[in-house]
Amino acid sequence: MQVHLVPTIFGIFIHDNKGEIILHHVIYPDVSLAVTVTSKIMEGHIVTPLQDLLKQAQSEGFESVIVENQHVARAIEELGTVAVVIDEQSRDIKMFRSMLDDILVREKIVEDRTRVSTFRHDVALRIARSRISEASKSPDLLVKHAIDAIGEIDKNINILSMRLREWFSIFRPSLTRLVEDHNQFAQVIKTINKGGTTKEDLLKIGFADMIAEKISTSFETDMGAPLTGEDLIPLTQLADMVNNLVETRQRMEEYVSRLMQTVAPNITALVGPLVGARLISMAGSLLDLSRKTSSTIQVLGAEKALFRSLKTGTAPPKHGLIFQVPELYSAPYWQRGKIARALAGKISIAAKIDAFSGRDAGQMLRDAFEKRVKEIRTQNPNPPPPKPTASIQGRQGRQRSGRSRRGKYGRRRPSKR
Amino acid sequence: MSVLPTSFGGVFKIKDKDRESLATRSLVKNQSVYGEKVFDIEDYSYRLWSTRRSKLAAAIKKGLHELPIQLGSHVLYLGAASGTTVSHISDIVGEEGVVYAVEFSPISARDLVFLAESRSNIIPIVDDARRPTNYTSIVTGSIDVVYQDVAQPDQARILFDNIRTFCSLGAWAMIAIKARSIDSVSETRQVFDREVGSLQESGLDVIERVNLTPYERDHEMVLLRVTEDL
Ligand SMILES: C[S@@+](CC[C@H](N)C(=O)[O-])C[C@H]1O[C@@H](n2cnc3c(N)ncnc32)[C@H](O)[C@@H]1O
Repeated sequence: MQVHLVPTIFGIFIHDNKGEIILHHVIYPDVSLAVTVTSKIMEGHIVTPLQDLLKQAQSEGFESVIVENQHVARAIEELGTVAVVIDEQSRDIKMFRSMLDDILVREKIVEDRTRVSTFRHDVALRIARSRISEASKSPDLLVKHAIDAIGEIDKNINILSMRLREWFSIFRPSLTRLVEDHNQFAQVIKTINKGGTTKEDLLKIGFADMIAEKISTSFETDMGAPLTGEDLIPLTQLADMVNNLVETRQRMEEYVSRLMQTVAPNITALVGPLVGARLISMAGSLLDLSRKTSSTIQVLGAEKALFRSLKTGTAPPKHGLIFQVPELYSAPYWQRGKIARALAGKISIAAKIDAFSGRDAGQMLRDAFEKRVKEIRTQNPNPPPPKPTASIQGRQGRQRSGRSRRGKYGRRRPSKR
Repeated sequence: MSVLPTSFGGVFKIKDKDRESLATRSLVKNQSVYGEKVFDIEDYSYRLWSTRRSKLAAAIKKGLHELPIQLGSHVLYLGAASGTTVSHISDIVGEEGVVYAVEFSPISARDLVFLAESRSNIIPIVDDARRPTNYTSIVTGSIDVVYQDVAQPDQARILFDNIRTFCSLGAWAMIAIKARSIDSVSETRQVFDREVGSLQESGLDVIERVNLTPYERDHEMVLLRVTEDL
């Protein structure tokens, strides 16, 4: 038998094609349960009341249930106990729904019509309120704030570390050369403060054998002012700050990565969560990014250079933010323009999918991009010959002012073929 | 100052010197929803109903003959915004009636929810009117009138889908057609005719058309009825 399944805020009902209730699971009078059940089902998730009802339906041996909403169908499919059919225009369901308020009272599920109304009012208000607060917490806005915070933290790490290095070099000038990483530098300062200057102490905070050796000898041989405990206090505090910032940054990165998996899975698959998040932030929002042309995306984050090129006629930038993608920065300079263009094209597709359909095409786009990079590599193995200079021939000299500008664009053009 | 009934139940005229304005008898005493004036006359509060802020008021002012929204009506309102018109419909249908107010912009819906908190006959729904089956779990019971003012190019389609999802024979529909939002090139008149034509084709009977000038530019209010099985 084919039956109809109708989820409502009062309960979930299964009825036959005469509108008779066969099975039901009552939610009334639990307002919060009605809110969660309705919201969950509408997000395509399974909830216990629905699960219970479908188990019963299965044991009754119903072939399939008809529902009128695709989200509900998805929730039922996820469970996989009973087959589900979507019929958005089911007359039987419409008839059942339009009589439901009477049925509720007749079947003594709800005491009277007044209570039907007040319950509906309470539940609807709660659902509406949660919809509104959800929306004000739009996830790409969260991505934007978090990734912007990461940028600001980086700047601060740099500023404070430079201060720390210069300050400390009054006492031990070699350390700043030996330890390039800001976080490790700060850690060395903290170790010194605890009295640890031996090779073992340095191995403990993660240095490799050879470098630990070098650092500890430098402490003995370095020239510089004598270092007192009192001098070390402010330095250690500063070092602590740098370490904390680095740690905060790491957590922030994890947060952005998690968010990006849900907000923009396709962009993330293509360029990674951080570059993806920066692109979204730079564009303003995911929707804004999805509306940009791929040539805009290609130079997003290089606005200064773009503006300069427009004003002075120098070569326009070949890439902005996307330069941070390994395939690009590790490529020889003459392949970069082509790779950047290919990548920007794929990002533009990924952004549209993320903003509008949510389909998962990330891996496909990633593969297509990698394939294109390979092609570019094999087709352009050698650097282009150096550009002829004006002194070589009179003919070129004559055209120089016109050509120099077009010539630079010209370098970008051929690969369009 | 005096209050006079009109041919529509729940809709009044307030005469103040030589000025005459539409008003509804407020369900909530002394409440002003969108800054409209409120008058207390013999036990009741009356809220002035602005023809510039509400297309339904404009349609009534411009001589609408029939108003299916009455005491006790169940109304599905699409494109409720912050609830300006919804509040007057809430007054008209009274405690026995209900207005399901659908609005998809969370920002506008904030005020709508606020309004619904003080009026038990307004059921706010923050959802897309293009997906009527998304709110069938809340809208149970019958619907007498679908009122629509979404100002979208596909407004006829949206109206029809909602009617088909919620209404049966004899139900009414009112739609405020905005010519500009459908097509900015063709003549306004043609746009109206085309939209009304497409509604007729889908099986609705056109009862009345009211042009809303000068209160709203390029707007028409169309009253329709479901006279065949959809
Ligand atoms: C012209 S305003 C309505 C004004 C309101 N009817 C009044 O008189 O107070 C149109 C409203 O419809 C909303 N809207 C547009 N498309 C919608 C849709 N698909 N679903 C729900 N609301 C929609 C808009 O957000 C906007 O608030």
